[in-house]
Amino acid sequence: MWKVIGASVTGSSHQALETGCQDASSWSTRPDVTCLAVADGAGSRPLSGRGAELAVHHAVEIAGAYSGRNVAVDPAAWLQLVFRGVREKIAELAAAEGNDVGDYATTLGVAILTADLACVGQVGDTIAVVGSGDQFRTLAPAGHGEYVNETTFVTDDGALEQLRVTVEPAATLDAVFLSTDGLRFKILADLGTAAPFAPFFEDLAAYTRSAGASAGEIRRFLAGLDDQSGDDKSLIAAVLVQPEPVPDQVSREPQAEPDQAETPETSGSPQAPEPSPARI
Amino acid sequence: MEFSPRVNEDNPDPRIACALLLDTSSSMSGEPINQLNRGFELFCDEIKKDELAKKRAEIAVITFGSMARVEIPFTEGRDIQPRHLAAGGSTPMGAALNLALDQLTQQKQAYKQAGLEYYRPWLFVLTDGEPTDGQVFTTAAARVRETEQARGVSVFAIGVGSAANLTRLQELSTRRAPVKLDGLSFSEFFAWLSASLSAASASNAFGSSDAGVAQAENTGEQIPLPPAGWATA
Repeated sequence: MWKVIGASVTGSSHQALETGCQDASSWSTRPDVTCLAVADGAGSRPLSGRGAELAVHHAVEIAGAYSGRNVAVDPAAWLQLVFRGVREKIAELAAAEGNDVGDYATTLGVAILTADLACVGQVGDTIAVVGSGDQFRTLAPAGHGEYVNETTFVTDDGALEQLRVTVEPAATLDAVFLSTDGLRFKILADLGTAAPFAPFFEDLAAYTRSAGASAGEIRRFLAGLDDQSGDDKSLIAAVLVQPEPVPDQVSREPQAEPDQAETPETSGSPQAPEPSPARI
Repeated sequence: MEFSPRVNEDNPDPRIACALLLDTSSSMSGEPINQLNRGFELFCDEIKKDELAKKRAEIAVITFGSMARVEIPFTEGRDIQPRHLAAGGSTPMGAALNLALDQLTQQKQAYKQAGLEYYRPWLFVLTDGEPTDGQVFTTAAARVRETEQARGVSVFAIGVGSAANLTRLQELSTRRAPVKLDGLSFSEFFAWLSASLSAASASNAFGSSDAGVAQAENTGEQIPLPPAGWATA
């Protein structure tokens, strides 16, 4: 089963301008499907923070509808539906509130993990990295350079044509990470090729697997990082762990989540700071 | 359990290229060139005090007196050293503008090749007179406006003293009117420039191409420049 932790924090330049956090992250874990989503609302667009929140919320909800399906579904087509659904939800809200849909502009990265497949869809400059042991790869990075110019937002016309979908056999992977571009200086080895900085992902995977791993610590790390970007930052880590045995509860659903798991059924990026032990 | 992963400390910071075009023609002789030298010296100290600007700002000095020349090629703030400028000769401002645009284009190319992100470059022109290479100037000014139009550069034109021809300086930008330096307050100007580069360096209006920079500026916050106390109406 997949164990997931993550967080979003406000960047230093956004703190200075009091624009609030325009990043959002969310995830859900079910026995048969795990969904992750990160989003980065566009700078000065007035409602982009809400756009990002809305995007991750609906992405996880729609992607999670994969759960319990017995029929085989083409995951790439499923991701198309997720992104189309997110666009519709944002458009509905914009219409209801009498705003331009562009006011909610946000990037969006979504991962759907099943027993067989890891599917990642991205619009805009999100960062998706997968791990297998100590090997890490970036999936379909946003282009950089002269001819690739601007970040695409999920609210843009033609966003679905810009959707970058990667489908990997799940058997070859034991870790999946999503982030927004605010972390790029620190977690990429090369800004041009977007190759991952492996030591970071090794440490993150090991930490996520550890028994005491908490979202609060991820948040603390993000908040204290000198990131060179000043941007909001988001990070979600999902690692494969052995399900904990439940020998005393034979009547229990065999695929039910262990009680101690750090992964609630649905978890928005938890806002409440976790209690930390007193320090001297 | 504490999470303190290894992170990449070696990714280079984004760069803000700033070309200073300084009039060193004969009319700048005496107190003006002295004040200019003093101001630039102060700038070289100030820029090193800002942790971000000293890594992100890259400054070039191009002078025009008799001829246009690159006095200091693009140099990081932490490495920039003052150089004594002497006044003499005509005012080939057009040649200086062409030289500056060529240098800026090269610099952007170098950034891209090195995988560096960058802010929109700044071009400052300080003169106490008017171009003596009129025809060259007219063409060069059009080139500056075009580059500005394509959002490839931000242009700041500054007139020094009563003989500065602000009408000609107007040709350099359709976005920002030329301003006059209050007396010989070069030191105030350079202190402002250092503070402005600090403010810019702390913003995230950068990208990996001109279009990317433009988008970062559009969707991000405006760079808040400090008030120009050195300017006069």
